[in-house]
Amino acid sequence: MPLTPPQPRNWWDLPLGGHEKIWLSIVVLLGLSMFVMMPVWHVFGAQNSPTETYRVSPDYYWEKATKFAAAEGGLSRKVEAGIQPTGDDVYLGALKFGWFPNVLVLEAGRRYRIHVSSKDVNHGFSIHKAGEPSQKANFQVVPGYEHVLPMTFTEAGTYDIVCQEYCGLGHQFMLGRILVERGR
Amino acid sequence: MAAVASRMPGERGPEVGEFWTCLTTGLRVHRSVVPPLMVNAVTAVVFLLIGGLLALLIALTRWEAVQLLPPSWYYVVLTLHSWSMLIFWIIFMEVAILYFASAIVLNFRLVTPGAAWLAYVLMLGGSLLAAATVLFQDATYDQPLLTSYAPLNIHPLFLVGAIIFAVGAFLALGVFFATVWRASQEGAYQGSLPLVTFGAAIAAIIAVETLLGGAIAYIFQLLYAIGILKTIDAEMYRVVWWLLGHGSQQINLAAMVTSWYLLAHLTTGAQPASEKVSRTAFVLYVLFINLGAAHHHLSDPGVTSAWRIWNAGYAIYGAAMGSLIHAFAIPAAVELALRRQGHGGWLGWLRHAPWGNPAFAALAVSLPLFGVMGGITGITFGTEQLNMMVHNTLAIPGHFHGTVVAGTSIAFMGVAYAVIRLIGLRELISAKLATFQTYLFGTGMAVFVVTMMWLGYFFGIPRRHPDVSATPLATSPLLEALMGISGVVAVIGGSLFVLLAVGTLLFGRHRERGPVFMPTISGGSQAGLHSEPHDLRGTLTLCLIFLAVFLAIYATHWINLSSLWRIG
Ligand code: HEM
Ligand SMILES: [Cu+2]
Ligand SMILES: [Cu+2]
Repeated sequence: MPLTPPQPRNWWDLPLGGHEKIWLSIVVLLGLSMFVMMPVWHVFGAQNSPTETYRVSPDYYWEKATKFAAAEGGLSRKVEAGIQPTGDDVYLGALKFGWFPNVLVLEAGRRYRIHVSSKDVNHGFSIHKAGEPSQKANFQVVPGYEHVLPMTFTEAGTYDIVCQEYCGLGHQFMLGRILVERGR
Repeated sequence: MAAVASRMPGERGPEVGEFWTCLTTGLRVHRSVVPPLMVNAVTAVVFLLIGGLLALLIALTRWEAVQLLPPSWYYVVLTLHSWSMLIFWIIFMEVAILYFASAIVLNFRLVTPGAAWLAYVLMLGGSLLAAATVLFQDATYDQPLLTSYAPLNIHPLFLVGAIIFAVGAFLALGVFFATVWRASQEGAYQGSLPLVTFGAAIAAIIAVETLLGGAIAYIFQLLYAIGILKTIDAEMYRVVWWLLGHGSQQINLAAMVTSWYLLAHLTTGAQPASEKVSRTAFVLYVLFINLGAAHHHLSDPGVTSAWRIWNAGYAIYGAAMGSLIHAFAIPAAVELALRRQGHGGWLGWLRHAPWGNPAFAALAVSLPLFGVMGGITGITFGTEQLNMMVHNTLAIPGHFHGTVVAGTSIAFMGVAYAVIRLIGLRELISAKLATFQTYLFGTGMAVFVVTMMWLGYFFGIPRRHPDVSATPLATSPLLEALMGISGVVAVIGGSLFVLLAVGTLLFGRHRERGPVFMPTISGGSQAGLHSEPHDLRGTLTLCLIFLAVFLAIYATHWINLSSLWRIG
């Protein structure tokens, strides 16, 4: 019994029952297949968690994001209209409690490399397709790490960005938007 | 065991020197164990009550039709809830379980009661300091929540409190190991450790590793908070913190599974069908502990896919395999015991299980809820690609309320009921109410967990969020209402437990040192068990049903993922 030393002393040598063996085989098979599933999806799947990362100083990244916005005419435009990048690299900076730039206009069907990083604390890059609540993806935004998130939006529409990591009082107001338009 | 069963229930056990004998289990209880054990358990229960009342406020804030707390208070309450529950309720209770599993199960004394008291004082002092700090700190500091991710501005006294608590917990582990060691030296038991002690030792070994990881994270953060370190690597902090954060969940897991074996035994006389299988499954927890923590970084920058897959997959899901094995072995032990008592049929034996016994109810609620609610989601959410759909959404607290609340907390409630009778020597003021309480808490929690997961998975509602209406996210008022109401039901169920446990200790009838929950059978050795063919049809069927649910949910996650736009 579980409250006394196992009996007999050679308990290790006792044979297993048939039903036990069936379950153990299932368990091993299940573990193996779930493990294999991840690399398999890297080969065949279209949604894989991005890994490309650069160590940067938070200030350096922030400068980069600012320059990007300025070069694309972002600073002079009305924020609501958003920034339409000409290249494929897009820089988003996170700072309590906002995204900079906070509105982007991207083309559907084009592969963008969305760079994200933070100037202060951890934030969360959480992107949601408006009107289709289950269409969403979430990534941790960590100061000192520039994370490149390659994304190809297949459908036009509004994609809302909310901060999904507690970053202080005001966390809930940290919002941004990506407007995806049909290719020009 | 055989000698025990031949005695009449209610007969007082003989007292030999410092020991008295528990007539239920035949265990000899040394006087030195009882006070520290009971004081730790009672402290745990008080924290459960506090954490539960705070849970009420949080649940009623996340239900946005009510939105009880303003954001500033929401974060204070969330911090205090998570620390009171996951840290203080669970760990004080685990210390009590460690003392039980060492001194009592081994028929031995607690070797260093002084150290046990010092550990208690440090743990209590640390927890009060940490809690008071977050309650009274001024607004320039951030609330740490559970994780205090660097570089948030965390109050140094909070970190000092956490470190003092950890030192106390470390000392309690020392008391456990010293007791087991002395017991083996002085020949208190022959052969291998009993399974319950073995499981507890596994939890304690994991705890050592875990606390070391935690010490590194908190000490570095403290140095940063008081300005000695000028910068702190935010991702490194996350990785190291989760050695503690995840490791401590493996402790809870091992302690919960140990509790399951104990409850199954105390209520049905169950014995593990195979010590070899059960112990190997425990060892898997230790071997794969360091790997699992990576599932917290599947959507982080700075780690490669190979690192994520290898680590989060626990190589080949080694730790998950351990749980899947226990998930079979424990019902199997119950099935064997009930069959030997003459209850047959494919699943007919289940009808004869002691459903009305609170300690059995705790097992019967906690094991399947842990597996279905916490286990399945743990594996799917912890899969590299699937994680980005749930990272930091309400589905995550959904998952871990399935594991640590529906699983661990309910199992511990069952243990508490048993310990109150066994060691506290009091008759529950109402066993009926205790059974009802268990089912009520379980039902409330099950609905609560499903609604949180639904809101997180299908609506992308963030966790740790005081006001979703400030965002453009769509939500479901109906699901939120269900979440709020089931949360309230769970809190009522939990409070009932506190009432019964504390009420019994204060006002319960003194009982003789007799049977706890009438284990109706006597022992019999493993050899006896193995001479009969193992008829485990029932358990295998239940496990296959579980497997089917698992595969359906796992497949659904991949299908949903494939409907997203192209990422990567
Ligand atoms: C009595 C029923 C309980 C209810 C209704 C409840 C409710 C909640 C809610 C609504 C949240 C917040 C979700 C969010 O906004 O992110 C939460 C967080 C949490 N709860 Fe509970 N809870 C209960 C019991 C427990 C127990 C028993 C434990 C631990 C053993 C626990 C551990 C936690 C932790 C660790 C967090 C996360 C805090 C963080 O994000 O830092 N809860 N709970
Ligand atoms: Cu933020
Ligand atoms: Cu974990």
